[in-house]
Parts: sequence; C-alpha cells; structure tokens
Amino acid sequence: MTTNQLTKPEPTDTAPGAPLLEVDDLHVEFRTRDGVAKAINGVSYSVAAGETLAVLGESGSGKSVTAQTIMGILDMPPGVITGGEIRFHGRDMLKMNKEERRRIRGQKIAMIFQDALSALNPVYSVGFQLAEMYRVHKGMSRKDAKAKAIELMDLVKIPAAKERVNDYPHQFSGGMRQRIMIAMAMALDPELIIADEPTTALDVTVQAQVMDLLAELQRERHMGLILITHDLGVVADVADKIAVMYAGRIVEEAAVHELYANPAHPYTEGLLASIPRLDLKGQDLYAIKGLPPNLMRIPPGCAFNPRCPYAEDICRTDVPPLIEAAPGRHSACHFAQRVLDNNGGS
Amino acid sequence: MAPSGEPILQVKDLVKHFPLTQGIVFQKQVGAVKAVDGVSFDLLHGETLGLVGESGCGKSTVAKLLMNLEKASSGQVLYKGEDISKVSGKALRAVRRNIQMVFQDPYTSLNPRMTVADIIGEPYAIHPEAAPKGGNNAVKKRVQELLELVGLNPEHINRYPHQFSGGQRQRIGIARGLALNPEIIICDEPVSALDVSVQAQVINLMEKLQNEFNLSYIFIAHDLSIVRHISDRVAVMYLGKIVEIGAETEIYDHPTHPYTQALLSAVPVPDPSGRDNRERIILTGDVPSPANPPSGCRFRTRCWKAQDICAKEEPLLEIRTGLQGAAVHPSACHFAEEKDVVHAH
Repeated sequence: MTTNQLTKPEPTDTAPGAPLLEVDDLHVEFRTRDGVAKAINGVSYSVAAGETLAVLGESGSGKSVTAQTIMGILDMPPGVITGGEIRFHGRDMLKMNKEERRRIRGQKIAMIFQDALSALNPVYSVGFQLAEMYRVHKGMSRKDAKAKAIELMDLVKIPAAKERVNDYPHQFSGGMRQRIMIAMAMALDPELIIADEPTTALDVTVQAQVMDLLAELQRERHMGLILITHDLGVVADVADKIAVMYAGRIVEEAAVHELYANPAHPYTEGLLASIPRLDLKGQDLYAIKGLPPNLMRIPPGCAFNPRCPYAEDICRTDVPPLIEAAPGRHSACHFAQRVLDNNGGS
Repeated sequence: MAPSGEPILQVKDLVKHFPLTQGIVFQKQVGAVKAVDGVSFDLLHGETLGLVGESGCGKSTVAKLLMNLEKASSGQVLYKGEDISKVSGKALRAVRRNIQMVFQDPYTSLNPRMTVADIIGEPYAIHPEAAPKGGNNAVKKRVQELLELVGLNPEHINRYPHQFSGGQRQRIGIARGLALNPEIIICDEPVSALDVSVQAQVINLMEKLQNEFNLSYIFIAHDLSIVRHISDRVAVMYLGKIVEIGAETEIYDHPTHPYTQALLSAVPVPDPSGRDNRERIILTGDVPSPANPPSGCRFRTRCWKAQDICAKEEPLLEIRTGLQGAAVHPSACHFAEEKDVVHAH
C-alpha cells in the first residue's frame, strides 16, 4: 500500500526542435472487396524525447492504424500507404528496407498492446518470451538472457520474479500481464514507446498502478511516449500534449492544460461536455448528435459537419486545414476562433 | 421522478457459491467460488441504485440472481414481498415480466439471425398475456412505437442487428427490455462497450425513459462518473460483499470505507489542472481469489489500515459510530473514517 503524489515527466532537456519521431501528412487506406476505407487522411504529429503525446479518438478514428504504420506492422494488403513520411531521427522509415526497419522495431521503438493475453504467446513461459528479446536482438546465451528477464520482471515490480519467471501468461492476472508487456517493451531500452490503449482492459485500481509504472519508467529513461486512448481521464493525468483524431485526421492539437481548459474544435468541445459533471447531476448529459462516419463514405468537406453545431455551408464543401488557431494550438475547424471564444476566450 | 419510500425489491443476505469439483466419474466438491456472499439491499420505487466494483467482485452474479437466471445458494430476493428465488414455472414467468435486463455487449446480446421486429416482439411471444390485443399487426405496431420511443426509425423494423451501430443496437436492447412494461430494469454495464460520444446519448435515453415510465434501475458499471450521474444511491462491492452503501453524495463526497476511497482516488479525472498535487491511493496487489477469500475483512490484504482485528473479525455493513453528517451511512470497516479524496466529477 503506497500513497504517493502523482508526478509527471520532467520537461525535455534535449535540443528543442529536434523531435524523435515525426509523422508527416500520412495517408493510409484499406482496399477491401466492399470498397476503399480511408483510415488515415493526412495525419501529422511529432514526439520529442521525454515527451508524452496522447492520441485521443473513438474507435475507427485511425489512432491505432497510425501506430501500426509507425511500427511497420500494418497488414498490407489490404492496407496501403498512399502518401506521407514517418521520420525517426530525421530519416524516413517508409523508405528504409526491411532489415533497417527491423533494427529500429523493438530496439528503438517498442509497442505495448491493449490486450496482453492475446499479445503474449500462451505456449511459452513469460520468462522465455522476455529472454527471447535478448537472444534474438543481442545474441545472448539462454542463461544470461534468463537472468536479464528476471531483472526486467523486477523492474516492472512483479513480486517474486525469480519464482514466476517460468510461469505461463494465463497464470498471471490482467495487471501483471500488462506489466510483462511493459517489461518486454522496455527490454532493449527503446527511445520511443507506443502504448495502444494500455489500460483499457484493466480495472481502475490496477489501471492506476500500471499508468504509474509507465510514467515512472518513462521519466527515468527519458523516453518519448505515444499514448493511444479514448479515455479523457487517463489523458489528463499523464499527457504533455494531445492530438485529437476524428475520421482519420487530427482535428485539434494542443498542450494538455489548454485543450481541457478551452477546446478549439467542436468535436473536442463536445467530448469534454459529454463527461458527467457534478454540477450537472439530474440534467441531461450533453450528447454529440449522430454517429461517427463510415470510413468508406466520409462526408465531403469537414468530416464532422453532420454532427457539428457550428456547421455552415463552407463546412460541407471545404476541408478545413489544421492551422494555428491560437499560439501553440492547432485546430482543423473553419470556426475555430468562434469555438475558442465560446469557451471563455483565449 | 423522485423515488418513493416503499421498496419494490428487497435483497436479503443473498449468497451464491459456485462449486469447484474434482474428478470426472466420481465428482466431489473441493471448494466453492464465493461469488456473492451475503448481499443485502433494498431498491425503492423509481430509484436508480448504482452497483460498482472491480471485475470479479460479483456484480454481474447479483444481477443474474435478481432475475433468477442463477439459483441462489441461500438468501432471499423479495419482489413486492414474494421471494423470487423460490418460484419457478408460471409464477417465475409472471415475475420476470416485471424485471427485465439490458446487457453489456450489444454485439452478442442480439440474435444476428433475427430481425428487429422479431427481437423486440419476442417478449410478447413468451408472455402472450402481455401482448397487445389484435394479433400480429398489433404487435408490429407496438414494436414500431417502441423503436420510436428509443430514438430509432420505426421503418427499420425489418433490419438485422448488424445493420445498426453499437449505440443503436443498445437502443434495440433497451426497447426489448421495455416491451413488457416492466417496473425494474437491471442494466449490466449498458454503456461500457460504446464510444464516448455515444455513451451520453444512451444515458440520456435511459433517464428519459425512467421519468416517463417510473422505472427502477439497478445500474451496474465500472465507470464511476457515469454511475454517479445516473444513480440516487450507490453500493460498492468487493469480493462478493457490499462494503459501503449510501446516497450518491454520501459515497462520492464522504466515503468512509478504505476500498471506496481507493477506488475513487484511482479514477482518472478528466481535468489536468491540479494533477501534480493530487493525492492518490494506489492499491498494491490484486483482488484475492473468491475461492479462498481472506479471513475477517476481505479487503485487509490490500488495506493500509489493517490491524489484527481485521483478520479475526469480519466487519459488518452497519452505520459506524463516531462519524458525522453525510459520513453516517453503512460501511463495513472497523476503522471507518471519512477521508477527503479527489473524487470523480
């Protein structure tokens, strides 16, 4: 039982303006029998060392597809990258050959998946799976690798790591399995971690443990972290900046405090307003009307226009670019200024 | 509508143990998973009772016991004074007409081979006495009314579940629950499978229907902020027992049980201001196995207040002495004391 202050990562001390990873105008579509689903339509974001970027979006917004494209684990076909660049330390990963990418994957950029039970191999012990990282990437002997695996399990605070190293994934609880996923991602000391809904499958008390651990490791090792989630609460706790995605585009990007205090896009505004609040008890919740669009038939103009209370004619014809709406804040809305003013001015 | 004083459902010392057996030919019982172990509460007319707790704490088993979908090991569920855990056959069917259920997963709780008309109309086939008079046409008309009531297009009556989105499917589930004009609806995680922007729509619909038909809800969820929004009273469960129960503000603003306090403090608050100086109670370890719960207080293995008495004596769910104001409500802790935690908004 510990009671501790929730802390956030120290601000980055590497050269400013030199992001670790830059995604630049990425386009991905899925060509299926039923038609072409445009999953990502021009996504750009960047992460620096020691920084936490939260990518917020509902199912189908393209947040996970972006992550898979960065990792190079997108199913192709049906997925096709139709444009854009993903630069890691300034080099475009999409132009690298397979061998080069494999050297980055796992060693430089690691990923944590949502469902640890299906991400771990059920027929190998967790110790074997952790040790595999060192044997394959570092060429260690079985014995050394196993010692390293125990170290890793200690690192992510699995009790009695020595005794449990030969246990299989099903013998661990959900929270412990997610810790093993984190251990596996940490194994080769990556510079960037992509965590795709790392705590969605967990209970809140366990979620708090796991997020705490992740934030602590990130701070210690000064890693970049891309946190993909749909949970506005988790984001508010750990992120430095936020990119909100809708129908395969980033509709708003801002530092965490500004975004929550004063959203600059109607979709963000709607999401924040739909959170149950104490002073609104007994009243209707604000609900964004309608449904997220079908990616095979994204509405012309702004994809959010059929659900948007601000929408006018221009929204049905022109796609709003992601532009600076206020210093340090970007919004893809024709009426960003009006949204900002509506929320108390900026 | 304000809940009125009389209880419509009384749960008394409800117990459900699932036997653990060994052997194939000669099975013998080697233990039991104590999923629900002595749960008591009242549900008032027109009220919403929230039931919260982590996975495995027995909330869904309670829901099934209330519907008599599982046979209780012991204890009573009194619907208007009649013990429904004892009835069967015709009498059970009559009770179930008044207690309906909405399930968590709208993808699996609707039969993919049935049209919406069949799904929502099926309750009338099972309960012909409740069906609208006038044969198939009357049923069809009633189904269309129900569709309209839950905000769906009545012309979509011949569509199949896969043609609807998650939120729309949950509306179909609600329409089916409403078909027989029940008095109680048990909602087992009705919005947790839905997207954030759609959750609010379904919650609003459920509140509207409650006002319109004076329904009583038992609302099971793990999202504490949604439970707070919709509930009049809240019960917190841990390992098959209720550890704290009270009015919504009593639980959220004046929690006295350490588990409730830890649970509330663990909820991420969607407001980054003040996150750096927020105190958080991070529980260590996992929930113990319900097949072998700790002696005495079941929470003691994760509790920072635990002392010798906690292992020896099980704390009863009762109003504890030494508390004041809104902290005066039943709490199952030897050391119940109010603690100011940053609660979910």
